[in-house]
Amino acid sequence: MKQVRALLKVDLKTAFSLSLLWRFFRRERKNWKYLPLAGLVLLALIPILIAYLMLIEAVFRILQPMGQESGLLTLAVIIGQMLVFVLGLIYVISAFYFSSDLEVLIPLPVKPHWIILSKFTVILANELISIIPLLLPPFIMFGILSRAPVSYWLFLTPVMLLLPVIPLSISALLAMGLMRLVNLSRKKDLLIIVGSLFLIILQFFLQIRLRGSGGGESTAWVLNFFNDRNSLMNVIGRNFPPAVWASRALDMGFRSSGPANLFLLAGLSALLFYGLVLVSRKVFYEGVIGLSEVTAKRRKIGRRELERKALAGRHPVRAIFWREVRLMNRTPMFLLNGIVVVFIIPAVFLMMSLGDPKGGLSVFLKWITGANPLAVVLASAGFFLITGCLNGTASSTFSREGRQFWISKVIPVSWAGQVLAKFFHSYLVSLLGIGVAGLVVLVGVGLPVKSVAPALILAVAASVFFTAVSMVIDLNRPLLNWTNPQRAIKQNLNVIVAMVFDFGTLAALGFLAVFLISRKLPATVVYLMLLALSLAGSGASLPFLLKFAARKYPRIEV
Amino acid sequence: MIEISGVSKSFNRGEVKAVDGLDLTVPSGEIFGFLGPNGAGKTTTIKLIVGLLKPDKGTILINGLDNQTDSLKCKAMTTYVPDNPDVYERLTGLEYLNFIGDIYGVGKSERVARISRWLETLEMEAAVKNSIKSYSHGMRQKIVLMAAFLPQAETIVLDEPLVGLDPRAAHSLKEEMREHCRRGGTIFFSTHIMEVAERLCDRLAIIHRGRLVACGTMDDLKARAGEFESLETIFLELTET
Repeated sequence: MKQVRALLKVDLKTAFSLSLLWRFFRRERKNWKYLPLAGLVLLALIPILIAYLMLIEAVFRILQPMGQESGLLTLAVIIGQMLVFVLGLIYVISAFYFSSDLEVLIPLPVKPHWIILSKFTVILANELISIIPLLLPPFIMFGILSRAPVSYWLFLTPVMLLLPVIPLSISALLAMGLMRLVNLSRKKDLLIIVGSLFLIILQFFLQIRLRGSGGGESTAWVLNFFNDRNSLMNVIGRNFPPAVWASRALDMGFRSSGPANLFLLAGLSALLFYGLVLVSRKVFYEGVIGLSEVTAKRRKIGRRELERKALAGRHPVRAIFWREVRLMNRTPMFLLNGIVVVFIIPAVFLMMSLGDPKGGLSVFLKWITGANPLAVVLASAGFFLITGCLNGTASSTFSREGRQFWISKVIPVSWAGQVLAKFFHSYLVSLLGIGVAGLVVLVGVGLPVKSVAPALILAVAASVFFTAVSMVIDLNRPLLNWTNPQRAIKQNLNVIVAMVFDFGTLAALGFLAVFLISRKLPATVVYLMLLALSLAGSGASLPFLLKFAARKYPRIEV
Repeated sequence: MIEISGVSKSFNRGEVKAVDGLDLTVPSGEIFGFLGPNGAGKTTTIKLIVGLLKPDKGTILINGLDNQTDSLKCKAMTTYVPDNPDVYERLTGLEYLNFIGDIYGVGKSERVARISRWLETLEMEAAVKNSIKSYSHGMRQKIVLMAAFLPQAETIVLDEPLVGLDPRAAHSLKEEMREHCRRGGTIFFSTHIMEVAERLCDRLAIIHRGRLVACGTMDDLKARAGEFESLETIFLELTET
């Protein structure tokens, strides 16, 4: 156990850069200037939080008269656990199999499950940090609005801590199975990408298909639904009982089956965790040893082939652009966390609308289209921007270079030229996301061109701003000392700050649009005002980025 | 030509003085060896020359241009080999060389001729199409060296270039370094291998605790050191703690 503690200590320090952070503020007084910046970021969260709390209260008020308010808890739990599962899969693969510390750990007299235990705990802590902002508001709101007893608040902490264990253990087991297979193959990178994608899409597909199945149409069922306080909870969570157990434990507290449900949740979590330890003993080293081996055919290059392949005459900006494309697309962790996200979000959206053709999403979209045509344009533009800009490509563009950043520092290409090449790459990924999302909304959901086209124009115009600002955030303090590619993009604080900023800006724009609409301004005028604002922001942000790069780049020492 | 005047660099808010008031001139056409014990300030000096670090004090001129104010022009005249061959491992060797060729504007015919010659010299013809990820440490070192020599920049700065190279490749590299200086170029390199420094370098410098403790030709150093005969004994004497 002592060894596990030692491993865990190092892993926690590395994952959260605790000692660096301590040094950052304790020893370097000048870094205190970043505290107001952190305050600003938190400030950007306020509009998002207000909108979120309003949404939770609205859902509660709708469910309460039907006696189904506990469904809110299950919904929150399901969303949180699904997020843990999807994010966890890539995270687990990266931490278990792609950390460079494995090269140091494997030759040591360390048992495989010790490594797994330590890394799993770090991921668990990270996942908790990720889902707490999402789950705590509905849990607290539910407690306040339903005047929950003391037992609700007492059960909240253990339930919260247990929530990510089950989905993360399933992710880890799947990841270990996948990586065992990958290690048998010669095309390892390709198999990792395809395998991970398959598992993620399968999870979404099952979730949506199973949710759609099951009867709910008969009169008796409807009557029963309203008679039982837990009906909605059971419907939402019927395919994933742990979500129901968590909700019941909270909702019932010490009453009736509350403790039993908490026991069930804890029991299954412990069982799966133990299963993970057992499996890791057998297959972890088989999956990880030799993973970095690359089997390459060594075939001599001839003069003629060299003449064909030695391309010349490319402008340096173009050369850097292609370097960015290749490095991003060929590093599985960058591809899965960056570019693939722009396909996953629209794919999930599409599955949700196709899986439920008569109700839910389509009805909602048609309703808002009918209520206010501008609302659907703005909502679509928001969706396009979330898909295109919130994938971490721009906000990790400098960090992704890692230890190879020295090359960018010594090559004779102006900072502006280098940043421009990176901007083109990040913007292209944004456009890809906007295009895919546009196609899904147009073809999959069936929104009319007259709604989609202006939304696309707005998103394309605004995404320059979001891309440039994300790059500024990353350039300000690039994370270059990572040992695991996942850290450069997923655990990079710059990516999180950029996402908060993007969401905050989108929420602020949303509030502005609502305000303008409430002033009875014509839809075209509101749209043109928002378009002008986006163009102005984009027009100012790109020159600012280039100017910032000229000032910041020389100061980065490697 | 490299001119270093009064350069100092410290880390940890001045707690660690890595380079302390360094003055050094390396004229064109010279192979200059830079020696010193671990942590003496060799890599810091090299990083200061190529612009990876910014000096706290002093100036560094490359062919008369300040590497801080005229950084782009200086970089166009300089290539660098780091002490650890960390390069884009998801690119193939040829893609990396093409990238460097594009950045330094090396034309097609020169590019093909130089790459072809280097591939043969360093026996990399069979590996150049593979991903750098599949390379051994020595092969990575070879690809970084090829990239440094590809543009035929006037000044080539190398940090421990012989580490990881097999004897044949090391021999070829030394020949190429000599050839580069014959064409009027400058080579500034650090090494721990005394024999190589003694035989290959036109002039040498020894740095210890950030300060230059000796600089000159091998004969100068021997004359100054008196009874010591080899560079190794001079080095040991000058860097004694």
